[in-house]
Amino acid sequence: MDENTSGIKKVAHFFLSARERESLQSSENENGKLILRVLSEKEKAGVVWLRSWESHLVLTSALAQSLDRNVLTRTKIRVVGVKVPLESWLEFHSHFPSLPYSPPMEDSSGYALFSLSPVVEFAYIFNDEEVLEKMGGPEDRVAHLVSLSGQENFLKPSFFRQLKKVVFITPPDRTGLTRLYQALKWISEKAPWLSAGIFLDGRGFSYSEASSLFEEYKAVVKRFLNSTIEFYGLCDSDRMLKRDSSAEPAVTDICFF
Amino acid sequence: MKIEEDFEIFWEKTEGLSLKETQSFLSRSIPAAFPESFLFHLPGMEKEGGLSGFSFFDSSGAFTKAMILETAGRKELEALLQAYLSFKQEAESFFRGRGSRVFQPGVEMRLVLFAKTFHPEFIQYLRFYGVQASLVSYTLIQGDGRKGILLRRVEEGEWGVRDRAPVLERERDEKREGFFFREIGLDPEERRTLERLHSLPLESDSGGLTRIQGKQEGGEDALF
Repeated sequence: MDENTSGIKKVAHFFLSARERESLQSSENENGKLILRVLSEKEKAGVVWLRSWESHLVLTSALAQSLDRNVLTRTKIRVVGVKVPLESWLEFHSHFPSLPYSPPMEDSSGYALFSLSPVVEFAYIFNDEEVLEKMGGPEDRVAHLVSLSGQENFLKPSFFRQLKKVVFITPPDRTGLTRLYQALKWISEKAPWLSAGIFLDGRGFSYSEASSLFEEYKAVVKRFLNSTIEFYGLCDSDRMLKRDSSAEPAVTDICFF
Repeated sequence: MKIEEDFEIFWEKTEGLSLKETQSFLSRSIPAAFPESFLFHLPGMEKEGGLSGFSFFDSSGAFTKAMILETAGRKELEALLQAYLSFKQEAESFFRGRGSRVFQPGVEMRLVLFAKTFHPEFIQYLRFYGVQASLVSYTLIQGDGRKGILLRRVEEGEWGVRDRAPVLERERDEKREGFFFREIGLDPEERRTLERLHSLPLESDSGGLTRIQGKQEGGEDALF
């Protein structure tokens, strides 16, 4: 299990090793690391990994671990999973061996809590209706990151009433960007109160390429949906999960903007 | 993967059948039960969570793990899931570096479960958790001075779970292919504009991304 334990540390390290790009000259950068700011506001945010459906809990937890060290000094972070299928659960468990082997059985509270680290905990939701709303009031100093894969067909649109923001993490290919647009259109029609931001997830592109693509994309979203999206950065979830050497991770595995 | 007809395997034996001998019997039955398979031993653990097992490639070349239980009931389930995970990791670490192109971490491992008794509840939970496994019941038999083993494929219909299985199968497929936000369609103009977007160039070694793109290519129309 030692190998498993180091696995999450490695993934977390990729997030930790991210460096802010000094060269970014857009309005987004004036606010510093947007993703960190957004997620540190003790609000309930959805984090949707549009590609890594099997590993989204691992990646969201790694993100939470890095937030813990970087930003949220006195706030607990609760990663929330909703009706997680077994494959995702096993993947998650392989990074957090202290979790039980099988997903928890439903009980009357509607959710089960597990500790992942002193400040990061994981909540497994059985029932998607209003459970999130009841979890953790403002006095609890808990930031909720609701981890999703974008494939949760069992969710009702009303679920998103419980969220303030949503962060999409998408591959920058045509399928990924089309899905992302569809998701943004869905939000603008069904959940207009949600603010949205994106990460581009993949490899083989430079910052400037990503930045120019994003500007182009943002213009399309503005033109058709009349809504604004924020660009939070680049990451490479594939490499983060598959890298198996204990060598120093490349800082390019994720960049916050 | 398809198991052959029910059959009997006999070997001349004089001693009693210990668990070890049973395991040996069962592993020797693999070539007969799964023709064109290749049985092998991974170094290190073939035991986990109180379960024993062995490995083989089936005729399609898929990595398959056989596990042996006395009784397959609800309380064995956790040990089984634990063993499933351990075996999977064991196989992944074994294959990593040897043929990472062939056996990528995360690849689904096939399972064959041998047990003397399968409880219906066990099968239901197995299906509920989405574990794909062939179930084979075994009976140790003797007579006429010989000892042997009788194998029989367990049909889920026997336990009344057959009707549920296809439903779960469908749910799983939908989950895999599903896209929560699909209900909102795109206008032709939106689609045209998105198609004109320049996608980011990919590095030649970006196998993961290229592969995933390829996989999604076919299902793309379903988005609209």
